Amino acid sequence: MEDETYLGSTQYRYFTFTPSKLSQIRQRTNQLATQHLNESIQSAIQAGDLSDSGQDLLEREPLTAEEELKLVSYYITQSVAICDHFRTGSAVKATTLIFLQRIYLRISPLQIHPKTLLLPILYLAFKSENGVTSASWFIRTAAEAGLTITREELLTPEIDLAMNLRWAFQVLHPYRGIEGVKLELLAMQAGTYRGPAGETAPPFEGTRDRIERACGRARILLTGPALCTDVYFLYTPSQIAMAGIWVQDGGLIEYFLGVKIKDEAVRQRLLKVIRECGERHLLATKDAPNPYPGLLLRLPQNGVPISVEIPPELKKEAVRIDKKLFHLKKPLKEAKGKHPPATDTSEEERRAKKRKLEKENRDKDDVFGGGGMIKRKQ
Amino acid sequence: MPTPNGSTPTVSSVLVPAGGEVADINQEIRDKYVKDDKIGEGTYAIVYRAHVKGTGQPVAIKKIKISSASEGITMDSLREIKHLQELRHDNIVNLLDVFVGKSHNIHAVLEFLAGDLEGIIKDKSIVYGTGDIKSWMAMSLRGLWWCHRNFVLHRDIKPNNLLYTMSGVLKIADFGLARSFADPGNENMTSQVVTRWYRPPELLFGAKSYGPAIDVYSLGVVFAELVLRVPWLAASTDMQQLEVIANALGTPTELNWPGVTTLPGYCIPNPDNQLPEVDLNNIRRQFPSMSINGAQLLHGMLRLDPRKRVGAREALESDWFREEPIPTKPQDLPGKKGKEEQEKVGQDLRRRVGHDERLDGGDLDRGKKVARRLNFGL
Repeated sequence: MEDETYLGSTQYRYFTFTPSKLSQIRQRTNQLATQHLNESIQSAIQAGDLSDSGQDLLEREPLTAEEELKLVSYYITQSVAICDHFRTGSAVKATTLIFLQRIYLRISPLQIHPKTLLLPILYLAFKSENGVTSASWFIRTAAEAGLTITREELLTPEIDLAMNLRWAFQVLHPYRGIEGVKLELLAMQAGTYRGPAGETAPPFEGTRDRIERACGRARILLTGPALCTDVYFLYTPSQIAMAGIWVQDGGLIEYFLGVKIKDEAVRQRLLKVIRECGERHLLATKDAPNPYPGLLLRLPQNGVPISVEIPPELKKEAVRIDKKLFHLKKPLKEAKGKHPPATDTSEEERRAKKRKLEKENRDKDDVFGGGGMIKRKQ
Repeated sequence: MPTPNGSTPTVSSVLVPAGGEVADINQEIRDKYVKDDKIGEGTYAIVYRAHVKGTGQPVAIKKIKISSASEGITMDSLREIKHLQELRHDNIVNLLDVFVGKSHNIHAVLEFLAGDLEGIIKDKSIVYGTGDIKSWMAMSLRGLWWCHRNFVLHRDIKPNNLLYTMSGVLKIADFGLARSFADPGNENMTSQVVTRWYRPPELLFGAKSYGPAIDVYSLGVVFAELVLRVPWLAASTDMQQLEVIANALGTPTELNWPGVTTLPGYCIPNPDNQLPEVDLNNIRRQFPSMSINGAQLLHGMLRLDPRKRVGAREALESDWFREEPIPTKPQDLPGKKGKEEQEKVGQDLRRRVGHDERLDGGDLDRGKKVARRLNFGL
């Protein structure tokens, strides 16, 4: 029954992959976007819209899939900061970050910059998790953090975001399972636990405090750093929940599964998966050997930091990649300048002025530590 | 929809995934159906009769009006799509597809339904008996059990949201007010849900935290209505509704419902005529045609204290379903399945009572209310 529910979920049907498939999808997205960009430049050259002779534009070093991954990771950390500003609570925050990851599986930053989607994605997550959310309130709250967005910019991408999420708005969050495991462990510790057939649990060697502490830390992990990893794409919510506790206190989970699962072989198989999820993802460090050779996964081993805190080197990297991205797309922007849409110009100028003014104010008082990474370049 | 070279890319064309898969899928889905005629129009959607190209299988297409919405995708459609995407069950309306139309409107493709229980109850030319009621109740409870099993509250159970297919299978429909209750301890849920006559006392008292028992109560009222063939607890204001409930089921007090006096809107609705909570004998007097088991089930579903109400699963295990007459097979159930009755699907679009997304009041005011509500819960 457990499996039937999960196997029917969109999370399993649309967004669960093997590591190599996940890697393949990202590689392909990057390749296709690069190809598409080059084709657009080529046709701009043919149309005579580029001042440049053109050929060298096509020979520039492309944005790699690794760079895209790092850039998206950087914006995931930015998104965390925005969620904190909105005081979203765990559900909206976790859904926002997972939406962002799911969307950038098949969309490349070469097509649309993540920074322009952070607020629309957050707004959609608010609606999906909390229900009615006023756009005016949202825009005002964003403005308090120095993030300017018009109603149109907020709402226009919504349908396309939904389409790219394959109309799947429900995200099954593993942090929700922690509370249940905790209650059951506490009952086992107190000797009041009864299994489905009325069986009791063998005595638990440990204090309530040990259970509370491990589960509390697991919740912090699963509502924070774990959301920056690839675990949602690779494991089931219950496996992630178990792994979240396992990395705090392995003995707890071994005891828990011992009570719950009598079949030794099944239990060992499960423990192996939980250990793998914990070691390779939740506890991964930069210097650990990469367990997925040649694959592109959001792992520190691949230069993608797994942390909600923004390490200075990632920020530096993000700035570099952002610049590269900007230059790669610049010729196209110039080409477009040759055929400006007649009506939009004054509006654009007005907004540019407004943005410049707001940027000056923002840099003085930036809740995200300055640098203005979220501001729009144009 | 690839961007034609040289034109200004709109956000929507930029968001098309690199591989174009999502856009292709959308196009493919859109081409799969042929719209026939309009069968209903409401404030937020138009329903068309349609069929699958090739097979001729009838479907209903709900085209959601979005152009006028200032808050983007409407909550009704977001909720409906979110939950129906995950809930696959014989007794829950099947969402076949979602696609974006040429005018950028959301289209939800639903299985075609022949009529609803309200139509059957009202149509005095239709004669039905206990076996039929049992069959409708069993199917409703199965669908409801699956919703609750998946942590979804329907929040608008009433006869015209219980539809049936041409082969008589009952389907719970209209998830426009549904929400998830997966996050435990949420104390910020709106009590302005469920159509008044079917609204349980805890919501009328303004409870901000509630669970599956609200749907069970609503279905209990539908059960009584199926037997009586007139709405059982009909009142025209919320205050009157409480009075009607108190007179039929008893006055809610600390005695029969510990804690009820702490609910924000608690009051004694019938001070001059306070009654103890009804017992089984009383229910039997009100419903003399029912067997003991039937009365017991009805009583269990209509307990004042939500904690004392039966769950959907428990209700299904009632002996009433096992005693004579046994539940009628779906295909033998009464109900017109002719063409004119198929229009039912489209008539379910009038704005509901108890809607938490009322569009009265200015946008600014609404924004304030929402902001306050959000902050309250954070």
